Amino acid sequence: MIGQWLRTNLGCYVGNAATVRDFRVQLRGNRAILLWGFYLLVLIGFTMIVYSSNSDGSQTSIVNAQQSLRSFYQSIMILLAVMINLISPALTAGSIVMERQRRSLDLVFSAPVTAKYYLVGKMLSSYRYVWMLLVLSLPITSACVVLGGATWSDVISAYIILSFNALIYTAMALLLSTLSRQPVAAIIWSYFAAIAYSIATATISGSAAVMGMSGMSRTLEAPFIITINPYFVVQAAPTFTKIYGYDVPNWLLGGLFAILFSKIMVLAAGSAMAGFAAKETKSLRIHGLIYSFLGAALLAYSVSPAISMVRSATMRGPGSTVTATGWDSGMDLMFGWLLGFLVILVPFLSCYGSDTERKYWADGLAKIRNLLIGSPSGGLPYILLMILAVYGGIALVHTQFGMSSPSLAILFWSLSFWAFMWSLGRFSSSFNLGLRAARSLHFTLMMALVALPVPFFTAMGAFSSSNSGIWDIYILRPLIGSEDNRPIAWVYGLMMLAGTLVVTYIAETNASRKGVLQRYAS
Amino acid sequence: MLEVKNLRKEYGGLTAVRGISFNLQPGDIFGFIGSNGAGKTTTIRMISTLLEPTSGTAILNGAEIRRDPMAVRRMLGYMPDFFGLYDDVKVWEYLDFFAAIYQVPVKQRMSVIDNVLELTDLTVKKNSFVQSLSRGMQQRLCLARCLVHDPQLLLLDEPASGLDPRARAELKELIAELGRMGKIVIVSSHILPELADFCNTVGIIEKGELLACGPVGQIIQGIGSARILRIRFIGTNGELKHFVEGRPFVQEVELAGDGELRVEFTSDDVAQAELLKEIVSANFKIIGFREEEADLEDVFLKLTTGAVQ
Ligand SMILES: Nc1ncnc2c1ncn2[C@@H]1O[C@H](COP(=O)(O)OP(=O)(O)OP(=O)(O)O)[C@@H](O)[C@H]1O
Ligand SMILES: [Mg+2]
Repeated sequence: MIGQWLRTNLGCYVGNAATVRDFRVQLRGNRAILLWGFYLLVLIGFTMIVYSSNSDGSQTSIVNAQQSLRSFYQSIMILLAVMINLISPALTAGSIVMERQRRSLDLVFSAPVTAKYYLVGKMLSSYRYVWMLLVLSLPITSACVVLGGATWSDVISAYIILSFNALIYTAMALLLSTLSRQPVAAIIWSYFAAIAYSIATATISGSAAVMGMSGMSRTLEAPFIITINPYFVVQAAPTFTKIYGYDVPNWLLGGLFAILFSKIMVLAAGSAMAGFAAKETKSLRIHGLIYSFLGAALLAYSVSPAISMVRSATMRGPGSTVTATGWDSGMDLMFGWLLGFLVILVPFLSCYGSDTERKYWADGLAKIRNLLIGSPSGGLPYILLMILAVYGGIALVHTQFGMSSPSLAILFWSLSFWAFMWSLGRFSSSFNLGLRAARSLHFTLMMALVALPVPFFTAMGAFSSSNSGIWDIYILRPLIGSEDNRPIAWVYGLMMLAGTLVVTYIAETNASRKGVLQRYAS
Repeated sequence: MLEVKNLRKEYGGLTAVRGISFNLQPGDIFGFIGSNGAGKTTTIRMISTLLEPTSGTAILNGAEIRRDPMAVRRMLGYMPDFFGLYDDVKVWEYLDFFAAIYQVPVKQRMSVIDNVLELTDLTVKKNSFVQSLSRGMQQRLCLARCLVHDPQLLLLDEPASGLDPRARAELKELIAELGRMGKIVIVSSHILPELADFCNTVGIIEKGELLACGPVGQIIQGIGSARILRIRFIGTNGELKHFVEGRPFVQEVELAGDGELRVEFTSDDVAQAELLKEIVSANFKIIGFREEEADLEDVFLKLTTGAVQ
């Protein structure tokens, strides 16, 4: 029983047939050697430039020499970060979509192969290629160690962090490759996602790095999220997190994050490939809930104590203006903004339309029993449950640390705000434009409501300070401002709830007038 | 044994397959005939578990395509109508890949690969790259790939398209051999003569509906409401035509070239003998009198006229 389970699961990772086949192709002929040669040339050329620009002038002091070696090492690592940021998506983006275009996927999936097995195989073969490139760069980085710019343990943990970031890029590209219809689209979207990820995490990792390095004693303790962006690899490599008194290296936590992240990507890709009510979809949805809970808890765990420490320090300090309510509403804002990731998921969860596999055929408004099936009627319950999971994760950690949870007002607002977003999806689908068009329309509507007013309000507010009240009609009003937002959140929540009811009513009447719902009912 | 029960597939508004049912036994070679867009590929893809049926099911040796797709896949080999091969992969590596995903034990793989290459006559190409093979060879390679795990059911979607006459003949021989090995073979085609001589069962599909299904002879008989008689004679045309038209059971008579009549006749052998006797006793000079053999093509055209819109 366990042996069987182990065999099927290990079989995905060890000796995966797709990986073996790709390996033969990757190493075939002159192409690989040419590619690697070119890569090494670029690397060495860059090294020479950096080295000569660093070492010019006469360096008399040891400290100066040390400094320049350090920055040399740093430049090499950033170059490697650029490399994995650029190469991982390119290696992976084509993997599934090209096979679909070539019509070779049917051959594979008429064999007893699960989507997971094949996807993992594909992911491993591009991931291994990234590893090969990383290993090729080892001579140059070890030069840094020999010259004294870094220590071996620095280099090794840096490589591990880089490789885990490569895994994240690879997994994202794999999912997008599964979702795309054209290889070009897959490549563009993969780069888009990789860059968006880098920018988004740069802000998080950057602030974590600041947090870790702040204070008089340059402590190496830092939130682990410093490791989830490749560009901060040098700063992240020696850091650790204290968990119950143990110094857990951050590359370990970052690696765990990368593995969970790539797992969810593979599950999503598997669910996208599978048919109606497939167990892949069920698995994805369960994992989605658990991960939102754990992710929120982890984030709260790594960020909140630090913030809390900063807060108590500043509150006790002379001339402090930070109040307890300010802190609490700060937590509220964090919770509200954290849910922003839903904007990508909501179109997939709420839109319906015809597709060949009847996965997204309209099957009613909202049914709790379809929560995990993946059909549109399970969308609303799933969205709400996910918000509760995130809330639960934060609340759990905060009670552990004796801090207060995000307020019920913001929870109420979040639930009704995302229900409203869901109703926009129903509305977009009710025109019967097709599934993809409905999703695009839905996304556009959400963006129009959330992003479009920002420049407008900013401009209005810029004319006179008395006009800054214009932000009061912004849909995300409860998530901005520094004063106590709770009353506003209650009011806006009620308004969103009313909006949900109205839009849903319009959407359903529109759909039934167009006969969209009946067509799929039979 | 394969049982197909009420298989149905809807694509949004369009119903591609409208409830198809048939049963096949080991050794059956089933010719699946239908014009373009009739629903052959859709049906085959549903049986091969690649496409989710809207309703209905198929059961292969006790395994159900929806509930136990992996068990079904282990027992079937599917050759699509269009397929691509990988670049930069050698023929043996290609087969090795499929042997691996079909979980053929590592020790047996090489001998299995040699066997299927032998069977499909590709042994000389073992170390060539797949993209360097000709279309027909790629077709055979795809068939070889279907055979690495010794499947019970073969689903061949237009396997002969793109093959030269010689390769076609060899393919037929190969399929017949697979039937003799006790496998169920489903071959789809719209080229009828291609199927007639080696299928023992046929199904005719039109607009997603199975119009006829069963052993070849039975179908031809079942459809033969009117038999066609060919009468060759010496003499003037008009008289005999007129005479035959007056006989019982004769439906339509037309001149087919010089000195030959084509007669649609709706009764049995006895009446047919009687007709000949009457013609001869009326002093017409008959040099030939034969019943035209109905073939699959006639049946097909007969069944599907009107259905084509
Ligand atoms: N993915 C799809 N989406 C929508 N309609 C489809 C899809 N695939 C097939 N169809 C439609 O289903 C019907 C049956 O198609 P199918 O491919 O099964 O025909 P076929 O008998 O294999 O034809 P051919 O001889 O041309 O291969 C056609 O009308 C086709 O347009
Ligand atoms: Mg077809």
